[in-house]
Amino acid sequence: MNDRAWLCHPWLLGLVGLLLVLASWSGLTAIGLVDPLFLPSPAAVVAAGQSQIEQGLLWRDLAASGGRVLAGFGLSALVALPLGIAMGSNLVICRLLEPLIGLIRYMPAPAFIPLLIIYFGLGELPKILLIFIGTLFFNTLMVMDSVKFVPSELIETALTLGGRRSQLLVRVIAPCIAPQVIDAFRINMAAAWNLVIVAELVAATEGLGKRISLAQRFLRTDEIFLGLLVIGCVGLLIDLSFRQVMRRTCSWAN
Amino acid sequence: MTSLVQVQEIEKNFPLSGGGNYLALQGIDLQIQKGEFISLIGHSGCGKSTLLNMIAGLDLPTAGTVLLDGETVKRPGPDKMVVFQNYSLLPWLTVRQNISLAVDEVMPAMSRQEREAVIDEHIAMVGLSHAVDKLPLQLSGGMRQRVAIARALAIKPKLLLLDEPFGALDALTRGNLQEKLMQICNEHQLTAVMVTHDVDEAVLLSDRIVMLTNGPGSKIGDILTVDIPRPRKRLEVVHHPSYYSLRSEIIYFLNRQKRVKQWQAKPHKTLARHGLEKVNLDLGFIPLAACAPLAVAEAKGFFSKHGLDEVQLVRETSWRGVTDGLVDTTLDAALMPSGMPTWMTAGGHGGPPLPIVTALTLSRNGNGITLATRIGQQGVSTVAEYRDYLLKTNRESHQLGIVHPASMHNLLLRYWLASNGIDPDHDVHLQTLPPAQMLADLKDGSIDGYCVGEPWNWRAEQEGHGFPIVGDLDIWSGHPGKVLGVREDWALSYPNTHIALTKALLEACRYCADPAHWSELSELLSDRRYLGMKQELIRFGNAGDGNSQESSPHSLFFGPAVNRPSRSEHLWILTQLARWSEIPFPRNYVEILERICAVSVYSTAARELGLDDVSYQRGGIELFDGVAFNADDPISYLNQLSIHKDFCVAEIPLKPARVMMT
Repeated sequence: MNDRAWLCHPWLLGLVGLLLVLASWSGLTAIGLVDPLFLPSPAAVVAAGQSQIEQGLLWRDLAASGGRVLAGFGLSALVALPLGIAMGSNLVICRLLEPLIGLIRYMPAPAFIPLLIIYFGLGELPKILLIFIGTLFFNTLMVMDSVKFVPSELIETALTLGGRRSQLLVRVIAPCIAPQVIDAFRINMAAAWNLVIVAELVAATEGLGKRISLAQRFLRTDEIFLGLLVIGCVGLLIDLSFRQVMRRTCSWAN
Repeated sequence: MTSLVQVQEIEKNFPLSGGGNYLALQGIDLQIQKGEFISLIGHSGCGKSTLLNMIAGLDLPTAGTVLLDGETVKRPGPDKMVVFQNYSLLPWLTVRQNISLAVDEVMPAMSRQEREAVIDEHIAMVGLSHAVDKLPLQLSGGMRQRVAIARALAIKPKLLLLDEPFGALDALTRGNLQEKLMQICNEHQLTAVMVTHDVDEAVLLSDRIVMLTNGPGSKIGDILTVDIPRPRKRLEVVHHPSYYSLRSEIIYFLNRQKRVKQWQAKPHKTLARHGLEKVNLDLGFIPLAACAPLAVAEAKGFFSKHGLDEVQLVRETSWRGVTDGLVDTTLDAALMPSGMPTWMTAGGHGGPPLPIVTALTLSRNGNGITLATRIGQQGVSTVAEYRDYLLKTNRESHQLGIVHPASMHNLLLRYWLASNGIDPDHDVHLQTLPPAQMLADLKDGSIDGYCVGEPWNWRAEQEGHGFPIVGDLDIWSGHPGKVLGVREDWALSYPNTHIALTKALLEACRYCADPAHWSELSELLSDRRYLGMKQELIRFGNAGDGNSQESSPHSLFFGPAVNRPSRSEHLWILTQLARWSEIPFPRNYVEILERICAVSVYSTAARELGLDDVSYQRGGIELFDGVAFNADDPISYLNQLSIHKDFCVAEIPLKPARVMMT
């Protein structure tokens, strides 16, 4: 058992997997088996990164994409939270909205792009709205579910203790659904990050997606690789920070 | 004194999603006094939690009202705090925060320090001072429930409501918490209502146990008062004389509910065939060697031979099940103790008099009186020695088991005791127990002995738990044992079926009487459909290994003057039932005997079986003490008997005989 103990570290195997891919990538490009136009070497990607950092492009792209995600997703969360709670706790509202949301939820958000461009042009607004539309309904339904799963005894106990509706919301429902809501936001954040790239591929002046689409036009695969890696890393960071928030605020749920 | 809680004519209807309604409860009336502990018990789905929720105000009745302290309950509130099975603690708050949330909310008028004191006091009360700063998830189930109880008590509710509070806990924790709750309830004079499905828990904790019938439309089936003094201790409670009878009362009730439910679930149309009015019969019996004729008639096809194609034998655990089955007509006919027809006809079962007809005596003898081995070890081997033993130990209570007040066991045991100078109502206490429980009670010492049918005497002797002090042959050889009983209205509705049933069972009796069949009978009865015990323990002969053909027959199933219902025997039974105040002696006893003894049904059956030559003549009735029974003057006979209760003579109002209402 002892000589296998090192296997037990939670991150170690993940790191090994990463290194394995990196090594075979380097190996493949080093022996020149593949045309560097199709598969740039890691070094080329790092160089592309350095040059973008020097030009300040990377930061500008990151800020642009991140800002859109933040605005779109923030707006979506802001609407979804009260809407979801209302639907979860009130049967009338739930029955009124659930079929509607169920319908819209199945319309792929990118399919709204043409409409958004016609309505709002090519500025920032349609991109933010795309993210908003793409995440609002998932967020709402997941918040609603978490409210529905608040144990009825908790509500009944609170009512028995003389709690009024507003107290119930603040002191029982809100803390009780917090872990599920954070988790829902963490999962739907991935969708938001996807959508911002899609929006930028279509029309933008800056952003990580825009950079990739430009690189394609000049056959700069190293820049494409760079873009992909950056998007992945940022997503991972967001995910980890959500987990951290969860761990900090809702330790009782673990 | 007015009640703290008054539940008045509550009805609860739930709308079903597919339209229509489900009537969960109806006609619930319950008064709860201050300081009382009430349990609600019933099968799942009987609406006991719904009733609790309505008392709590979490749910409103569709009709009727619940009053708490004279005020209608309309919404939940801290005066009627609920403790749920799943604890319902806020998982993000510590033990202390959970309780303080409730206290702060409910008692805002108190100062900070006072509230702190209340919180500390109640945490200490449930013994959790060491865990005040833990989150619920860090606690075991039992500890969490203690927090929930502490929280409920901290806000000083008028009424504590518990919804299966210990249902999710392991047995040991449950036991500890029950004791804790009992102690707290005693110290603080709490009024509580608890929903439970645990019979022992209900008996241990409650002052009264409310038993609910099955839904839809559940009602209160019965309310038991638990007369075990407080403070109670689990280990002492089980030795209280009421404990087992309460327990078996509840279990009986629950089983009965289950049986009724099963009966309702299957179709019961009257099937007429072969010139018989009804061929689908449910016959009740309880597991005793005397049920042999029923088992044989089923196994050997005597029922179908006489056209009764669809006879179901229904095994009850106690005679009470047979009584109730006949009262609510879930049984068509039943094996019953020979005293039961007169007893039920005279209203001994508590309801209005229900005329019961018997056309066949199925067995004679087959009983015995067994005393516990531990009494034998005190040097008791005769009745005189037992009397001395009772005198010596008269401070202890002495229980003797009987199976039913109307059984020959009760009557023979009492007769035997009384004739030997032991008053069966003062010197000992007779307790009604199901036969199958007798041995267990004898083993654990809660009864001195019992009078019961085989195989329970033989089995106690074989297993070394008891010894026979006297056999029934030495009290009254040839006494009637079990009879076939049906309702009078049933007999009138299905006369040909009645004759066919009598024929089938008479033929079965003849089969059982043949010693050559005894081994086969033992094997048959050992099946779990009937007695479900080792066949060596079931014997029909008296001596030797019990089943050899040479041994003298103990139980009589067939023979001259064995099976024909005898009016004078039933009259003797009436005198004995009156002697011990089970029923008044009926002034119209001649009418009652006429209606009970269906001699003509027996005669027709016997004639059709070609048994014309069977002699009907029995000698006069005279038991071991030589007092002759004069059937012409039963009252003088009664007065002549040395020990008896103050009996009365009264007219039993019987309705005119008529066919069954359908």
